[in-house]
Parts: sequence; structure tokens; C-alpha cells
Amino acid sequence: MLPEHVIQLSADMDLAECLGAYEGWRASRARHVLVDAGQVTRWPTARVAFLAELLRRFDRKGVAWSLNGVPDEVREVLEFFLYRKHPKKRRAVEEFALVETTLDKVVLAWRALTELYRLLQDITFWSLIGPFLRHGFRYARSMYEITERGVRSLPIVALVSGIMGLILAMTAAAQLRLFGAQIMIANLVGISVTYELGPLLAAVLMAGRSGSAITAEIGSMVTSEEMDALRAMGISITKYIVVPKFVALVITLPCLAVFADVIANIAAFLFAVLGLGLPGREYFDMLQQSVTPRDVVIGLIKSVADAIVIAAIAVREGLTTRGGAEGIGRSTTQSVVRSIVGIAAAHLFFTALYYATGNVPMIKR
Amino acid sequence: MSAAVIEVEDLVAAYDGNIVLDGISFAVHAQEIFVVLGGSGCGKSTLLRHLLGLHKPAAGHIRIFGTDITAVSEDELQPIRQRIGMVFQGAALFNSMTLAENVSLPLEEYTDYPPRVIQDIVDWKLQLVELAHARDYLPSQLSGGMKKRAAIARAMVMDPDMIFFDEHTTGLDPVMAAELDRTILRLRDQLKVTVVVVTHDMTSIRRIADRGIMIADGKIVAQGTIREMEQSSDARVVNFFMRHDEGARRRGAPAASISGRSIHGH
Repeated sequence: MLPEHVIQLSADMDLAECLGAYEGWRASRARHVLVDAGQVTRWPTARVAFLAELLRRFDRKGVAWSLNGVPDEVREVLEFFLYRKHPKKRRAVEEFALVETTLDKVVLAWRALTELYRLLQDITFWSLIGPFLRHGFRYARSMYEITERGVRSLPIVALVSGIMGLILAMTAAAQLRLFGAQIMIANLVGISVTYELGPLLAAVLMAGRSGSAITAEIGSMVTSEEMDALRAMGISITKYIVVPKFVALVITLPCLAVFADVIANIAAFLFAVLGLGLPGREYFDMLQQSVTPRDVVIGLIKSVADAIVIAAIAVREGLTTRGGAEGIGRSTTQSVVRSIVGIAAAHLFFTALYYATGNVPMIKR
Repeated sequence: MSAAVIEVEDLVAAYDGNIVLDGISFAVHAQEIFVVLGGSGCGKSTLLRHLLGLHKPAAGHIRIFGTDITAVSEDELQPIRQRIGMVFQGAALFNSMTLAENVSLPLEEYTDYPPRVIQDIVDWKLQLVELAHARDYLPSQLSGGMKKRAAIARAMVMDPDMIFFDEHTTGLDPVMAAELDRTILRLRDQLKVTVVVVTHDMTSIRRIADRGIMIADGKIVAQGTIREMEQSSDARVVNFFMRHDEGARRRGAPAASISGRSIHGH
């Protein structure tokens, strides 16, 4: 059978030319096509794929084609394109397609809690008992962590708690003006900050700034097999990696909370004295009367609990990191989210406890 | 002799004031496998990064396909880089993408080919490195050798004129390393590419190298074919060849017997 339509491909044939040739054939409606590729000199893979695309279209239309001027090695690639069996697409990422039933979630949550408990047990041993049994304690590393987690957090804590003090003072001032009791700003800001907001703010900032960093650091150590290396050398990960971070958080977070208390109160004081023209001496007296050392201690207890929550969650999320850069991102996000939920829960617990035992702070006059 | 595709002239490379490469000159010809030898930390990888234009030299010139890449902007460098494939030491596959997605990335970025054409090209390149069956795997599901081969598939997907390999046999067992060498030889013959390999693996060098240079203390201490380099009387060269050949023998490598190029000078 003689070809009824001849397609002559040029030396620098491209996709547009192949598609144009196909359109040219459509006009002729020939049942047999001859494709002459004799002029094409270079055959990068893409060019072979263009040719394959053209021939595939003829195949689909049931048009017979013959091919001229194609070197043997190109013919091999072409045959691969046209006649290879297409592998079935398999589910690549099965682990993410895991269907979680409610029961699964409960089981997972329970497992996470027991893991956390065991981790805390381990940490308690290595930070409180281990050093006295001469198991060693990384002082230098712990000091470094304290600087990194605590000292370097001072500016952000100062900034945010200062702003919070101002906001509280302004809000309170607007309300108290009705009763002519603007001096009570001292009590309001003093108690709410010392008792609740200072520790809360410091904890949330710590979760965002240090919890995420700890998770990312530990997570990348896991993915790069550094943790396996430590384990293989028989070195306790808890002692070597976790305890310095844990100790740093437990020591620095209460300090940051007190720092936040002080800054917020100073900010409120400045607003009251400079903005509202209240007498500074009286403001200070009010503050001294309303905030007792016991309130500060209660705030500090919450802070220590926050530190434990943040450290434990950050470390656990880091240690359970799976799968490269993406996995690290995922566990860092989870670490911050869960820490903040944990902090909120801890604060609720303590507030409920004080409420039940009648220890809620009262505004004294 | 075919034309030079890479010409390096008096290249000086420095990091933070430390001179890593000090006046290096050589030329690579089309379709040859050119090796850069040297001990750890001698500046081999630095040289490769300069050839790719990832770093600017402190002095000297690098001409690739006739263009002086030390004198052009990052934008003007792109078309040259598209003609070069790079296989990184750690494969540098993107962990969140399947093999096929990894390989098709340059095509998706640089071309507007229809999906069907892209799939054809990707499947063929994977076929060339014998990974067609693994196209939908994630990198974490592959062995070290498979990752390296996948990296080669990605490096060749744009049909480059030149492929750079950084320590291609590192982390592979001798059998896999031999396999990879065979892949490189086959690709050179099939695709007519120029290959530049940076390595200190003597077994591999003997299998694949046409010509090369050896760098020590920031300077070229030997150049030519492997046989010519071995004739050198420079103590560093003699030492390098002696120690690395011995190391290769002791590791029980299946030596050069796998390919047609057998051991010279023994």
C-alpha cells in the first residue's frame, strides 16, 4: 500500500512541528502516512518523545504509519515509548493514608501518654538521682542550654509582657474610671499577671521559641541516625541529649515568668503614673498589699509544671520524628500545638485546684 | 581530538582567605570521562562547585562550552547549567517526592511539554538506570545504590551534554560501585555525554577514566591518562596511587575485572 500522505520532519523538529503535522494529516484524512525523519540530526530524548506522541495519535485513529530515516538507537527508545507496558500506579505514601478510627486514636493517645510517663521517669532519674550516683551530668551543655533557652528569650519576653501590662492597665482603667477607683489598676494588673498571665505568657513564648527548637534539633538527629549512633555506643539519650534541655527549661521558665511579672507591672505602673497621673507612691503601696509572696509562689509552681510539659512534649515529638525534612516540620508543628494545649490544661488544673481549696486570690483593700 | 568543552585557566579558589585551589589549569574534551583525583580535603569538590558556577573563583577563568562562566551573571548561567547534569554525593533526592516526580522536576520547571511526553521521557531515563519498576517509590524506600542511580536519571533528564559526579561510589559496596561505573560507561557511549568525576576511589578510576588530573596542596601534581599519571615521580602521586590501590585490594573489591579495562602497571 502506498502512503497517501508524507510528513517531512525538519532538522530542528519540535513538539509544535509534530502537532502541526498531525493537523496537516487531519486535513488530508489519509489512511496511510509516511513520516520521514531523515533530516533530523540530533535526537535528544524529548525529540523522540515528540515523535512518539505523533505516532501514538495515528495509532489511536487507526492510521497505518511507516517511519524513515530514524537511527537504530532512536528506534529502540521509540519502541519503548510506544509499546512498553505501563506499570500500575501504586499507592506511594501508604503510611499517610492510614485510616484512624476513634479506637485507634484512643489507643494512640494512651500510648503517647505512657511514653511521656516513661520519658519523665527517665528524665527524673538522670537529672535528680543520676548525678549523685556518679553517672555524670553535662554541666557545660546544661549551662549552654540555659543561655540559649533562657537568657536569649529575655528580649521577647520583656517586649510581649510589657505590651500585655499596658493592655491590661488600659482596659482596667476604662472600667475603673466609672467608680473613680483607677488606683485599683495596681491590684488588678498585679494579681492577674503574677497569678496567671505572667507564667502563661512566658510558657507560650517558651513553647514557640524553645519547644520547637528542641523538637527540630532532636528530630533532625533522629533522621540523620545520630540517635541510633548514641544508642549503639551505649550512651543514654536521655542523659546526654534530653536532660540538659529539660534542666534548662525547668530552671529558666520560672525565672522568665518572674521577669514577665516584673516587666508587666512596671509597664502598668508607668501607664498609671505617666498616663493617668496617679500617685506613684500609692500605686506601689497598693501593689505591695495585694500581691503576696504566696501568689508569686503559686505562679512559680505553674511555671515549673509548664516547663515539664513543654520539655516532655518537645522531646517526645522530636524522638518520634519520621521521614526527613517534611517529618521534622510536622513534628515541630505538633510540638508547639500540643505544648500550648498542655500548658492550658496545666493552668486549668492548678486554677481548679486552688479554687477547690479556697485559695483564689482576692482583691484586698 | 575533539574540542574542549571545559577550559580552566589559572583557577584560584579561596574560602575565608584560605587558598584551596592555587592556579589550576586543565581542559576536558567532549565525550571523555575525566577524573579529578586527590585525597580528602584537597579541594576536589570545591573545583566541581566552581565548574557549576556555584562559587565564584578568586582569580582565573573557567570556560564551559566556550562561555566564560566567571564573567556572566546568575541569569546568564542558567542556560549553561541546563546543559550540565550534576550527581551529588548524597544523591540529594527530594524526600517528599516519588522517584518519577524527582526525575521529572527539571522538565516540569524548564519545559511546557504535555504530561504524556514528560512521562515518556522520565520512564525512559529510569529504564536506562534500571529503575523503571521503582518509579512510584519514595527515596526513603530505596537502597543507597538505587538512590545514586535515581540521581543519575535526574541529572540526565534534560539530555545534558555533560554530567558531573561527586564521589559517586561513596557509601556503595564494591559490587554496586562496579554496577554504577558500568552505568556511567554505558551512558557515555549511548548518550555521547562528557563526564567529569571527582573521586578518590582507585578501583572505580581504573574502570572508567580516560584522562584526569590529580590535585594535592591546591595544585595539579599529575595529569594525563591513568598510566601517565602513574609514571609520575612526585612523591605525593606515588603515595596516593600506592595507598589507594592497596586499600582497594584489601577491601576485596572485584577490582577492574568487571569491565574491559583491567589493572595497569601491576
